[in-house]
Amino acid sequence: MVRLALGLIGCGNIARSAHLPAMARLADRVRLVATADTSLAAAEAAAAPWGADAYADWRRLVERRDITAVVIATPEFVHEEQVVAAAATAKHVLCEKPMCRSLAEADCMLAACRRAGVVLLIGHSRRFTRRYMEVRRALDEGAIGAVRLLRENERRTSTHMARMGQAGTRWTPAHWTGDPAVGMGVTLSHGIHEVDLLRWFAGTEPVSAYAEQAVTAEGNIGVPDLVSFVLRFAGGAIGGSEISYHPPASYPAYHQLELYGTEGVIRARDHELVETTTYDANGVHFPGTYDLFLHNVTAYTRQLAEFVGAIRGGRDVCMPPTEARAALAVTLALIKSARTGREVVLGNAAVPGAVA
Amino acid sequence: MNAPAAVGVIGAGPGALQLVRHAAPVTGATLAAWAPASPGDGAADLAAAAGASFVADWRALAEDPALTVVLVLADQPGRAAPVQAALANGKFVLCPFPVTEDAEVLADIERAEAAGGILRPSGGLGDTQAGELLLLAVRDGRLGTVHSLWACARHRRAAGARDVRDDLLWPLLDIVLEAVLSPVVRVHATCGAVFGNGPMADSAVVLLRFANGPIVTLEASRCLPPTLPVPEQGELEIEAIGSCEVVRITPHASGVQVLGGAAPGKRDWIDPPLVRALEQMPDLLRTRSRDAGWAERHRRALAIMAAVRAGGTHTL
Repeated sequence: MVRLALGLIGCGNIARSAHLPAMARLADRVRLVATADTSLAAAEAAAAPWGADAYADWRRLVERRDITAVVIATPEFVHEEQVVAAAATAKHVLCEKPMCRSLAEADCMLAACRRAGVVLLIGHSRRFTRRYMEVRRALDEGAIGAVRLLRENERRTSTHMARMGQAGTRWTPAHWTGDPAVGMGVTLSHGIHEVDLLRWFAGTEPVSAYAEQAVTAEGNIGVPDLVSFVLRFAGGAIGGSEISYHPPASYPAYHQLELYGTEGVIRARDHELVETTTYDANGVHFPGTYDLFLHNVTAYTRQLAEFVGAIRGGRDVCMPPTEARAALAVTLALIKSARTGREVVLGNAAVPGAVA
Repeated sequence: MNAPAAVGVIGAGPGALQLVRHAAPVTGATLAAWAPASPGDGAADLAAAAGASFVADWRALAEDPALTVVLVLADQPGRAAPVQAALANGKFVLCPFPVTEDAEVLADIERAEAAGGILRPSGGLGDTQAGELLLLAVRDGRLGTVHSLWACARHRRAAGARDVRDDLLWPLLDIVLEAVLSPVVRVHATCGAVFGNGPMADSAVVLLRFANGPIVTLEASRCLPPTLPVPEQGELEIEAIGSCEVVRITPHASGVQVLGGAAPGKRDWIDPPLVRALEQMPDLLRTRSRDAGWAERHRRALAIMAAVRAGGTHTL
């Protein structure tokens, strides 16, 4: 089988820790032809194991005709320009989340890929973790009935960030996430993961959104790095999430998912309980022990395999980019809520479970 | 050694069964008398089970000179009158939080206390080992700057159960207001009859924005199916994240974990809070120790809960 020729735009942390290892695992299906990064040294380091070319200007990579698809692992503030340019040269695109910074940008990206007839997969990698795939499967099988209450908390620490190569820099001006000119904060960068999962598991759309944000990290000059938010879903279900980057270094980084349904409960934790536990009418089940961290190469490998499979099979990806746009719409509403101190109404769906 | 305090109980509301089950080994107090807060509320059976004498009229119990402590376990809004009567008779009064939801009655109770009695809101999370640990850690500054606090209470679903804004939210709010002293500037509440147990709200998520303080998320819900094994007091989970340490109380590990400090430790947390309060009675009576902040905490809680009941977002 001819391997799919890939280009990688952006060779920073997420590329090093997730996308490049995923490509290596799928070396029988893909080959990395070229890399690009504003740091030529980073591009060269990523390219070296593959004997690929390296560029400081991503446009030179996009111009190449021998590349079938690109993986875009850059910050969200350049996604629109890069995706539109890649689509214009008929390249399929796997683009990191968040999709971009506005719905107008998202619509440009969607339109460009639709016009070009190329696959666009936005990297909501958590949908590709075994843990959450199992959770979704359990919901599809009706294990806990209709989901009515959802909780998804996330904790990251300086130790965790150091393992990801961002010791002491994230949320400070030394890193783009801490630059108020381009960074929109934790709600967009990570809250969008939680929003996506809450939507995916609730099975309905949020009708209202409320968030409180704060600036807590040492050296942070004004980009929110803490958020707690709540969503009301059509049909009355309630979902909430709190994301914190400020626990002390020795605190465990973890994700905590709890789904309370009409017939049972699903809990999945990285913390004390690594396993997923399902409580249903027939008792308590421990289907298995899943990946410890959601940020894992296995999930990114599945994601890349899905991308390659959709291109090869001429089919849609399992997570249409409109899903990513919907998650973005809710996330932007949360940011607006936090900035204004007001709840944002997302739609006119009836909320039969609501009480004053 | 101090003699056990003679305790009279009024009412058969939350905590009464717990008291009967766990009070026998308590050395600091004796359940001497029990009176109903309202006719037929079950106090007679509880008195028999506890080996206490039954008093048909709570006013008589409040006046009984043989009792030094009166524990009011009436359902809301029936707590204020017995509390005031017991205070007027100079008793040391224990009562779950909130004692009243009426600001004017609250002022009356303050005046009654000023006339001679002592009131300590009791039986809340602050009386558990876990709550005590949390409060100590926050107050002595060990946590550093507390940026976020997430507190969650989950109970079994039950047909006809009370609105969570009438019971489950209050203890969470109580301990948060004990821990965080700065004013709440904004409240957002999302409440609903999410599980359809009845017309009352069975779930609530409340976000509190404190001035120069943490973002606090409170979550109270009757969401657990009957088949799920649940501790007697329901599932309580609290995570207070400071810049130096974190206090995490979780039922899932059946313990309190203090992580981030030099000596991580773990302690059991499932201890009946009313019983712990009674254990402390001899010392409290000897020192006539007052909870100086209870009235202010009540006033803050009343303002917050009014916003919660109204739903949506409110600036305080």
